[in-house]
Amino acid sequence: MPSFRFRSFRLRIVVLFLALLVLVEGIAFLVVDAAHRQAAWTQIDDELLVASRVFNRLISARIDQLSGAARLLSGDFAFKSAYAMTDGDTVLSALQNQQARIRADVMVLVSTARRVVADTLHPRLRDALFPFVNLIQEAEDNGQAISIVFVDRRPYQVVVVPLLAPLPVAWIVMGFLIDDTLAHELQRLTHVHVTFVTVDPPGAPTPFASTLPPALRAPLAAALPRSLGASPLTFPLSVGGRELVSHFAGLGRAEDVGVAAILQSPVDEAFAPVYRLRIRLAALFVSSLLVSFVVGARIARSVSRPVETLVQGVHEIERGHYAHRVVVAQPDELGELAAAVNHMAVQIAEREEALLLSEEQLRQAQKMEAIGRLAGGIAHDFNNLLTVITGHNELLRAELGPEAAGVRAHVDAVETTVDRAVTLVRQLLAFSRKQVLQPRVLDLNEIVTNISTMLRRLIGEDIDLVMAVGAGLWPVKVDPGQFEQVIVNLAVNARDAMPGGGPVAPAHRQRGALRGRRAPGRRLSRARRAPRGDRHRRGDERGGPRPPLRAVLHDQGARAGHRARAVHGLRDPEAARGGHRR
Amino acid sequence: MLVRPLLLAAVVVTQLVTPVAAGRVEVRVADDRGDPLEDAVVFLAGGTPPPGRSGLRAVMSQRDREFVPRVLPILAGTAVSFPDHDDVRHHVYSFSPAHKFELATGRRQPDAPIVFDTPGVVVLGCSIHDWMLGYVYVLTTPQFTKTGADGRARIDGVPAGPWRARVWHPRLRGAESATTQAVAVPASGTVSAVFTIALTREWRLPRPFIGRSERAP
Repeated sequence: MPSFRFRSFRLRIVVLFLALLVLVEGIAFLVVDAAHRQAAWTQIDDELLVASRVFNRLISARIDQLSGAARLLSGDFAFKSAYAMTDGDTVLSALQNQQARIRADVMVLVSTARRVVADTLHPRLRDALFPFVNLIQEAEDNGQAISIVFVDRRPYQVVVVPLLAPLPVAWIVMGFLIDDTLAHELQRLTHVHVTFVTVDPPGAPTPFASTLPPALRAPLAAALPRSLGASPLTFPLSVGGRELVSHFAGLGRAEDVGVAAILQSPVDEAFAPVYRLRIRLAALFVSSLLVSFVVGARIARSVSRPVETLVQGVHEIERGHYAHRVVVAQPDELGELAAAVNHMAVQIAEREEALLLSEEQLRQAQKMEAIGRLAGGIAHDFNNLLTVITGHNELLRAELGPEAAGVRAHVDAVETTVDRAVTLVRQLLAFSRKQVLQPRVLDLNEIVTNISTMLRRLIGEDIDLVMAVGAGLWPVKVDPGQFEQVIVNLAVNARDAMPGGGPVAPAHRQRGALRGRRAPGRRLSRARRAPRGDRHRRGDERGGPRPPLRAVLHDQGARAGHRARAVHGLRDPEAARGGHRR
Repeated sequence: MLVRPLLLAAVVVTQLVTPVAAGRVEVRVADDRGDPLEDAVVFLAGGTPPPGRSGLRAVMSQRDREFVPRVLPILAGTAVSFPDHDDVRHHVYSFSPAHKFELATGRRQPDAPIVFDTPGVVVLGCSIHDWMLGYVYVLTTPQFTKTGADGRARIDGVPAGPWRARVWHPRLRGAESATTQAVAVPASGTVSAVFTIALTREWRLPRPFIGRSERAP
């Protein structure tokens, strides 16, 4: 699975921005949604509570209206008169007349002997025992009775009041039907579904009038709890796939059967605003996400563009384009950074230029030094030539008689010129030598022995190092480091000259007694020049050139490099002796 | 309720008292809570009505929108007049089986009195004023009386011998015969009886408030 990485700084900013927004909006959405759902539930509960109060009020108002109408009738003299003076038919038609007046659904006149005088539901029924004697009894005791009765299996809310003339002479029973029409009427006022049920303790509650569509009534009957009185007053009910929060309101009893109203508020209706709000929130969420994406991209661009410019500028500097300038015209840190980068580029350019210059100077100096050394070398040899010339000139002068005054003048001129040349050579040597040597009085054997181990390692296995220590050598005043280097250089040169391998035998011996005033401190240059002095020899028995030692010391500069130069300085008399003259 | 002295509520009985020994019956009637019961009719059943009762007269007035007296016990055959002393008219009626009648609204006094022949309760109402409630109790025995506010009543000149005393009251619960008490009336002197009766609810409708100007007699 390929890992998705936010390589771009800009993309990272935008993604971070959006992630933050999603987080914040997600939390806000959840909080708001929870609050609204809570509110919706509270609203349902409140609605049902209010609805139940309104419902109870409506029912009692209806009962009041009914009993008011019945009381009006009970005081109606014409009706009393009709009852007292006329026959049953007249009473019946008077009842029907009253029923129409007050829009009741049933009216029955019952004699004090509990006999039906007239019944608008059953006009032919006369003189039968009134079935709800308890109601009459209750009315006798309390002045009126209010109840629900089932007549022909239909429920009626009834009121019983006496027909006063002016004492009770009969009982007026008035009622209205509890049916779908009533339920719908109540629904219009309470805004909840109203269902009337019979609550028959052994059986299930049975709806008999409802505002619910007929298809939902059977599921409602099945869903209702067995004993409504035992359940909480408000309880959720799932009816045919619809969630209804239900509220139980007892109405009364009809003989042995309890009658109740169930007020129901559909959850989905209460939640419709919540769902609408959810959609709006989601739309707001998406649109703000889009806006944030655009804004975030712009912001990211404004941040990343100078960064990109900076990166590009740094790459240019990396490639050596110091003239490139980073242009970030911002008064913030990025602007400062750009200025710093530009400044750095300028400084790098300056330093590089300075470095080039100093390299050039170094090269020049090295050239000059080489020239100086060459000059020194030449000067030395030239000096030797001059010595020869001086010598021969002296000999020439000695052989000249007094008569050869003219020639003597020439000899003098030669001597003068040679002196000037010697001075010139000395100047050259002074120019080419800088090193100051520190000679000490040493035993050469000791030095050679000391470095033999290092020499072996240096010249490798193909070449045999044969150490030959001379006996009875005088001590020598020389710079020990320089002398060691001479031996090393000689050995290395010998190795280089014998690619096929072979023996190397550094050896030294004393040749005769020294001339001069300062016996032990004689100069190496003289020793070399004079065959009588200490002499180092290389024992190259086979292969390779065999140039004179002088050639090795003085002329192999190009091949042996600094090693030759070291020997060159070693035998420099002026430097070692601090300007001692012969 | 304004109760006036029974100045105008007269029971005029012309008694043809035989010269036999006579005693007095004193009764006290209380309700089931022990309170004295007013307007209870106490009578001795089995008395012989006197012959020639054509002269019997009684009055049931309408005063201050009430029947005065509330309860009027009469001997059967008594002519009762219904004078209206109010400044408004009344429509007195009775749908009682004992005597159904109506005194039409707008009648002017004096009216011809109504003779009550059938024994029993005649409940009087007024179709204009629903709260007005009066009773004419028609008896066949001349030995009767009515309790006052203290629940007491007295029957004088009762021939000595055993009698059955009974009580009727507008709110009497149960049958009147159930109240029967045997009393032995002495030749002279007094016999006492105490009746305690259970009452039904009061069916009299509450009287609405009437302003002072209307209440002026």
